[in-house]
Amino acid sequence: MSTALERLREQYRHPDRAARAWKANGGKVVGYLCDNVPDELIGAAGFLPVRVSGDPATSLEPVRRYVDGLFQPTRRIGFAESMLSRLLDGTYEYLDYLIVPHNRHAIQAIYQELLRARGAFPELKLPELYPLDRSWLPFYASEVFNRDRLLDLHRTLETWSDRTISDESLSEAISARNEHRILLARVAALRTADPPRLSGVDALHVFGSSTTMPRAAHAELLRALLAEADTLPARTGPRVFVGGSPHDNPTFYEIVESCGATVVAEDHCWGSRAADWTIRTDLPPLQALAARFHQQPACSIAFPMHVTVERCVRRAALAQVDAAIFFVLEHETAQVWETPDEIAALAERGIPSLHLSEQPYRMAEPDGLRARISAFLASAGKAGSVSTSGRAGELT
Amino acid sequence: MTAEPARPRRLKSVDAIRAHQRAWLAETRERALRGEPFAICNSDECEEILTALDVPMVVINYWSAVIAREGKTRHFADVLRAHGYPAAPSHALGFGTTLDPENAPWGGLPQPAIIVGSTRDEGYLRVAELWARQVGCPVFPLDFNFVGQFSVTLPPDWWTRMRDDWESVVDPHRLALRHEQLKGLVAYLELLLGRPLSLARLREVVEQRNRQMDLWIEARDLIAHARPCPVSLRDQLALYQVTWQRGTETSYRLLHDYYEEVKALLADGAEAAPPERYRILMATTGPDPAFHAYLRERHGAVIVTNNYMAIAELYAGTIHDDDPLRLLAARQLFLFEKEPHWYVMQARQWGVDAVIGLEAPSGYPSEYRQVIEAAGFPYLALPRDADDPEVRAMLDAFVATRLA
Repeated sequence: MSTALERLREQYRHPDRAARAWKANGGKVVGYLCDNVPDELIGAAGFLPVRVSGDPATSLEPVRRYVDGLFQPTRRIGFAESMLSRLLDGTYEYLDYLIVPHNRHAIQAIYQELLRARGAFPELKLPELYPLDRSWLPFYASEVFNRDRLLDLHRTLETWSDRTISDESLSEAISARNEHRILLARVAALRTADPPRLSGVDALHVFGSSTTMPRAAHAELLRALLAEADTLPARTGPRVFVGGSPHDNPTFYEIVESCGATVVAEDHCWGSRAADWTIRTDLPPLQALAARFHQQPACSIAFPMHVTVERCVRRAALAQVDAAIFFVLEHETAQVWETPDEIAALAERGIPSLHLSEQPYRMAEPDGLRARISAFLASAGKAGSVSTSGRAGELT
Repeated sequence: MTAEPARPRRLKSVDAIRAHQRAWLAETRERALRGEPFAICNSDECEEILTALDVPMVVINYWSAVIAREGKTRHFADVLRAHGYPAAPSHALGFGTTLDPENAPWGGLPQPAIIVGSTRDEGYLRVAELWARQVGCPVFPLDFNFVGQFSVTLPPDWWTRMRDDWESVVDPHRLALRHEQLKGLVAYLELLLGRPLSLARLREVVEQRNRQMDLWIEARDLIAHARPCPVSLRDQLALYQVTWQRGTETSYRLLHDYYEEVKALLADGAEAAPPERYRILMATTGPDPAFHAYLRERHGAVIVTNNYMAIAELYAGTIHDDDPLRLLAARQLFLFEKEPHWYVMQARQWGVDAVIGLEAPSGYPSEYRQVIEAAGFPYLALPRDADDPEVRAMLDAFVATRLA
């Protein structure tokens, strides 16, 4: 058993530990939602950046109590509702600040939901909120807009920390994070190797833990894990790609891998994308950070759509997968329109797909899903076969 | 229980609007077949620009409503699902008609020259992209939309600022970007169409839109002050169709006919309208609810208005610095928010006895209830606008305990 891997698993299971230790040493913690908030900038300001996650086991009672009555009825995707509930129930009481980006509607809405909840219920202990706006389009005017929003965030972080973020400190933070991403990519390569040396479940632990602890300490654990890589057992069974909605918890991966497969790659914001988007070092650091902020999609939403589709297919192809499973949550509005194109593109490459639509965030009875996945994997040798199924009705 | 089962009349002017819409689409199809451009866009985005360029357009939301009215929602939801797409939301139904054009209502839409999409939410732009790909036309993307307030916290009297002080209810950075994007859209359209957009013409369309909205407000106020209500909610909502072609002479004329008919009705006297024991504000942006007939016939309670009747003031806006495009950009970033102070204003405007809203049952008193009841209006929160035994029981109990 790898000691480093066990420590990474522990951090994933207890994401508050590092933050609480940071606070105990007098530090402040900046929470953020999603994967496109520039944590390098937060780190350069002297804060610990912590990404907020949902948890399927979380009670939604705080949302019912503090938020639902303030707005017209809305359907929130499960992980966003869970994050909102955990921000209300005290799970993240150690956050001093919270950055909410303009990503999918259910995410950006959390800013006004928390703001209004705090106004209506002063007893709520919530962090100071900051809306990080962003254009989703790739064009010049959007890049200027996004750069200016990043500069606004830069000024805000300086105000929060009561200190100037020098170019030197930002360059150091960028270099360190680039190196961190390279290490994450090397760990991701353990999965895509033949045979894989890391399960998809463990990969989620590695990537997820990278967002809740000091990045330098996480990089040290990655180095230790890579040093022990030869001792990791080789995995057998079908190589599976996971597309569709994000997985902020390992439940679905555990189900897939309990069927004898290994999730070797995915296309969502809690997976191997953590290794992507290194920052240019040949530009002034704020310009480089702004360029990355503009290029990195919000919630996989890139225009035009074929960019998203091609990125997805490339990930699957590079990982040399035997099959793909598209797991799309109920109330999903982002990753739902491109899925048919992604399935078709994979089929052209001889990769069969299983399309699971309208799936619950809380999987109370996974046995039926496990049986369906097992059956699909058993038949996955038939290249190009596509099976689609959802709670709303069976389709082929 | 009232002894009067009378049903509200249908206004000739509103029937004329309904007929006009269908004839307009047939005419637009003819124009498209002759090679003239036709456009598809989201609601409340670039209608005025397209009107000023003399490009007929269908608004996606309106087309979804036509599909629903023709009883084809389920069919096209099934079509979408069969192609691997989600069956909801309704704004995708029009895309669904392109996957099964033989069953499209009214013979389907003409071939568009362009579809203008926006990031109203993450799905809207995708639907526009897929739609454009399916029919083989370009798609032009815009950021944000009027339901997308993010950083701005609205003042409690926000609706009073929409005409002149509209900068105060939109994010200035978003306004600047949207303004730039609209300039890009205009340049793209000018190249696509081979003709320029005239500033004078756009100014004229915006000012004509304002006149249209002012006339609508006058008609609305006549109805709101009349007892009993002389125009059914159904007819008031049907009138909304002329807002999709805002700023045209035709829309103004249709609205003017409505205004004149309302005045004539009032001159005829209140006996022409069904009696009303209780006046209700339905605080939604939905259709005439399915339970309305039960409420009216069982309890004499008439839903006299809903949010759409308060929207004319929100469309109208004053051009600043002779830049109509910037005003349009601001309106596209914010049109309204469904919040309770706006409902209280409407309840007072219409002199209602109670307000009905839709809420997801949470077990906790909502801000809607607190604000509306604090203003002196009994408030009923329904879980849906269906006509079923549970909803009827809630209506019966509300009338018995809060109104009788």
